[in-house]
Amino acid sequence: MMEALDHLVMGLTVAATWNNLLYCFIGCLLGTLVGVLPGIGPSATIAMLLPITFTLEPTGALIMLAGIFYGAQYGGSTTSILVNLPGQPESVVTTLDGYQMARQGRGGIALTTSALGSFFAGCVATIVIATLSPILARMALRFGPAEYFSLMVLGLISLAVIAQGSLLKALAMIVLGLTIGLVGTDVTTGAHRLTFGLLELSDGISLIAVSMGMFGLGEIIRNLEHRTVRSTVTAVSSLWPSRQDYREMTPPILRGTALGAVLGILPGGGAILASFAAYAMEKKLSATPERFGKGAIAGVAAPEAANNAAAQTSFIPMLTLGLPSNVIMAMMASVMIMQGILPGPGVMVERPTLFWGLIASMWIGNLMLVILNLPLIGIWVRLLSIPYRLLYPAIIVFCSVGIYTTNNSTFDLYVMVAFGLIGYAMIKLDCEPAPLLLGMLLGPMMEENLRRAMLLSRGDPMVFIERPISAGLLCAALVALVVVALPAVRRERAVAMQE
Amino acid sequence: MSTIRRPKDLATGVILGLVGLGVMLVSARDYAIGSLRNMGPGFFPLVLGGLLLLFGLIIALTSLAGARDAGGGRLALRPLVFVLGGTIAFGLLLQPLGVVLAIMAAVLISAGASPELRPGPSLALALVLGFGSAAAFVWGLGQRMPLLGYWITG
Repeated sequence: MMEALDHLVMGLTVAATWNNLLYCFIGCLLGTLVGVLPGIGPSATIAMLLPITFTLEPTGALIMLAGIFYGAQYGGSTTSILVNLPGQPESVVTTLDGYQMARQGRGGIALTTSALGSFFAGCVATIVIATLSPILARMALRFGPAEYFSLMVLGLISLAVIAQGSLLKALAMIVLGLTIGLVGTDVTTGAHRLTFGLLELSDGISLIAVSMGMFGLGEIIRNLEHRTVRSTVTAVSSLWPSRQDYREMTPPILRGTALGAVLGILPGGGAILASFAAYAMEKKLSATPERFGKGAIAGVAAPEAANNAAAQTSFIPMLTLGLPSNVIMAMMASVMIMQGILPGPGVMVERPTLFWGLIASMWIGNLMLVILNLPLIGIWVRLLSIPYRLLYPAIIVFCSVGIYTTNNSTFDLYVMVAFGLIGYAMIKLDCEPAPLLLGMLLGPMMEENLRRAMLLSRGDPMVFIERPISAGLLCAALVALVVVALPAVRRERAVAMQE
Repeated sequence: MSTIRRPKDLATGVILGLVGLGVMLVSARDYAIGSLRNMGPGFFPLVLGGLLLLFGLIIALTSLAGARDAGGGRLALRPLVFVLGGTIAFGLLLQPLGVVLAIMAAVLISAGASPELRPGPSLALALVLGFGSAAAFVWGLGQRMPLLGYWITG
């Protein structure tokens, strides 16, 4: 605990320099600004804003990205509450009671509840990260290639289990992603693989171009399928909850934070699970469950706290194990790689100022969001009413200029276009993009660890089962898969996804 | 009466199966497979291709039975063509015309994607985004992009 505090103090001295505070502020502001725009979810927001950070040095870039991430999340909550438009699956639950509160003229109070809940959850999660990361990283340093391989299998399977829709398709998307990840130069032999003779592909397919194509362009096409329905923005009255409101929101925030912090660490992206579970838990515990879905403040407080706690603790597997647990972490990891930092247990040891600076800036970012957003809520509300037809050309321009500037070449732009098409096709075929992106990032790492493990074991595949940690991880993956494939759970999962 | 309950799944399965088959063929033909102990560059892609083919087959076969899907699979060709077309136009025109005009072209073309966006507002949007982004990216962030392309400067 003391050790964690020392580290946090060191982090604060890094994060609290004027430059880094400015990056954090710009990140939060831009993230919220783009995140509240209708029809642009957090993944698209982050994909679009990624190129802005490339000009910065690594610490500043990651701090700004983290700020963008929190801002985008907060923007998603705002649209859920005020216009009933969740930008991401994590915010779906917030719409249930948040939008009802807004319709009753209590939208401002719902927003404050969300902001305070998220802030509290962010503070706790920061401490959890500071305490747990060194322990996990120390453990990870002892991992051999067999353990890493099994860990990635577990991570990918968990993601497929949590993904919406068909499990089979999610698994197939992972394999497709892994395959796309292999395009380029093979690290071990230097052979060019699956490049179709294109020299530009020898560095592999850019994950950033793929994310921008699928989340930027693909979603625009989907959004334009239908004539836009003018969303009715409800007026925001008072922002300040009454004493009664505070009493009602406090226990759910505490419980939501605890639940979210734990679920966020699990591979597979706990934020969605956390917000659903927190809502279900509050409804069970409540003395007045009939008020849920009709504007209960606990129905906003708990899931918002839970999803922010989970969003933040999901940094732990990425930073300590090098294993991103969701798409946003995958994008963060690819930015780290572009900046020359390999995500994994080494980061904490080799770049302590970057690591702890980033963690401290998470807390600062959360604080900034509260300070920034409560007074600016009027502006955000006005942004919400910008019609989509004026927004989408701007998104196209941003994505195009952004992707061009990452390499000063148009090749990545055409990759983005191709994945815009593929992304749209995937939407039409009910295939999820998240497993594909994660697979893409993990493909080369998985292959390398598999090769090394097999070389060390002299070609004996039993090594994955004989080593206890590896066996445990594979077992967990198998259990997750079997449990979800059971008919009874499958039905319940379908129902849960429906809600 | 067709027996295909879920055409979307059938399409997904067939596409994945074909991709998997292609990856397998290319890996087996062009890259060394190696052994379990010393894997060549072809080993992992061959396995992944096989898995893709397998998943593709299962998804395609299961589409013949079970619940029907909700449908609604019509492709929206107009946004598809204009959104992607606008983006490609930016890529093609950036060097010859420069960033301002390339952005304007991208905006004007992609405006065709939405019937709600009329010519007047599109032109205004193109001007704002063209000059605005040039200012933000080239002057503000110092990105290296030609303001005027070689067709104009000669």
